[in-house]
Amino acid sequence: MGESDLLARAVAGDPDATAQLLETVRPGVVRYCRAHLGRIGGRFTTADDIAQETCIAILGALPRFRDQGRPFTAFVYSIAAHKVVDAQRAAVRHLQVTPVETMADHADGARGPEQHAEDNDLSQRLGQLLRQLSTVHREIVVLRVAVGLSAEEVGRTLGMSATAVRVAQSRALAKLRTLAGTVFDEVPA
Amino acid sequence: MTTPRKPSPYPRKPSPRPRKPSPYPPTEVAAVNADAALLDALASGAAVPPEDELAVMLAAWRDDLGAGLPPVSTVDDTPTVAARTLPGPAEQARARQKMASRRVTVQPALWRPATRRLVAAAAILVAFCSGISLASGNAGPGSPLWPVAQVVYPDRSQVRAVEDLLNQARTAAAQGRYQDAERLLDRAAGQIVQLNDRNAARRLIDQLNQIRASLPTAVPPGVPAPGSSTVPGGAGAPSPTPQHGGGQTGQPAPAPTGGGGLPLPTLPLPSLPVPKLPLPSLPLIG
Repeated sequence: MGESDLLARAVAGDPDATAQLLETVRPGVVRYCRAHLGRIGGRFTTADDIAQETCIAILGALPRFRDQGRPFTAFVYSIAAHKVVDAQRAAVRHLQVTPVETMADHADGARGPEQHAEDNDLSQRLGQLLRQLSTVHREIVVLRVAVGLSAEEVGRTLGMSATAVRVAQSRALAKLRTLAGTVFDEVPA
Repeated sequence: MTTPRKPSPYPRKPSPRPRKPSPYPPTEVAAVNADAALLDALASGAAVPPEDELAVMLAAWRDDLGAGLPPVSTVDDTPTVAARTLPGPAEQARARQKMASRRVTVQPALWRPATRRLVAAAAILVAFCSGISLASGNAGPGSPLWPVAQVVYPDRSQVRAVEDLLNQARTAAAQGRYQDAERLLDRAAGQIVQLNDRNAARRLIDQLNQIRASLPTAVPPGVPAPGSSTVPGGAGAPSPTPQHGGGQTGQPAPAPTGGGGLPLPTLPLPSLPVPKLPLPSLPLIG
């Protein structure tokens, strides 16, 4: 109740409510962007910049929110998704000029020693596995685990039923388990 | 609830949340439920069973993503986000425009928030420094900007330092403090010879000689000048005021010379390097 009231006031342009709303939304947005973009050069700087951009975009789009008739989380994370895609496109464009390790590690064949070293980081390893999921599965895992939304919220965000989300998330985990199994086999204990 | 229920003539609308067990086999249903429970635990930040490798990985990932997040997002950044973006209608318009075009990719480095802050700070610093520098152009000794002026306008500030000494000497002479005046004139002379600007040096020597001419020539010879030890340049310089050195050694003071002729003192002074006219260093005497 308090949240919808806050949202209504923010949409109406109340600066305090807007600030408060952004404050509640921001940690999730940061996690979302970090989950999708990962660390670059060992830092989340780029991801956090994109999160910041997302918040600014949310702020700008807030007055139009009512018209779209979707839950607010869907509104927030669709904006975030666009920002992330834009950033990834820009990164790919950038990588065409200067190839960096990010491009290299989607080839699963020959894994060099430095990649094994990177693999020591569990989080980074999971990031690599996530990249091999389908878009929807990856989105579900990110929203569920990284952002911390419930299956119902994820469903509303992605326009799926909660049941469909539960099935899909289970398949995503199964896929991750398979992928992780191959990774675990490769990494010396 | 009504117990006797007739089958409705209307087709049942599918409930928004279908409760029926899905058409999936029971093993999969169990897996789905177990995975849902696991994801719920992960979403709520709870611990996960350590024997589940994927769960451990997901938990590590989740924790890594939140690294530094609570202090960063809720304490520091959020107020600045609000403060920086909320009040400005221009900012909002810009954000809306960006949103509409959706063309915003990774922004050029110049406009990322952190860089932007840095650039702004640098710009302010530059503006401040140049303002200070410009303002220091007219600063004389005693002004708060004097140290800046000494660095930014070394030549001009040397001249000003000498002018300041001459003014002090003039005041001292007017008040009858002749020894002080002498001392100040000696210091001024020592600095004049180090000036790079010859025209200014000539003008200042002229002034100095005028002041010296206004002094009574008979300075008591036995009185040591109190400031003599602090003015090595003044003693060794081709100063037009040999009285001072004379006072130190007990010799009678020769008469001051006027005009351009500057007699070099021929005293056996300590082996100080005699500064030649074009001296690049900053004389910070006194």
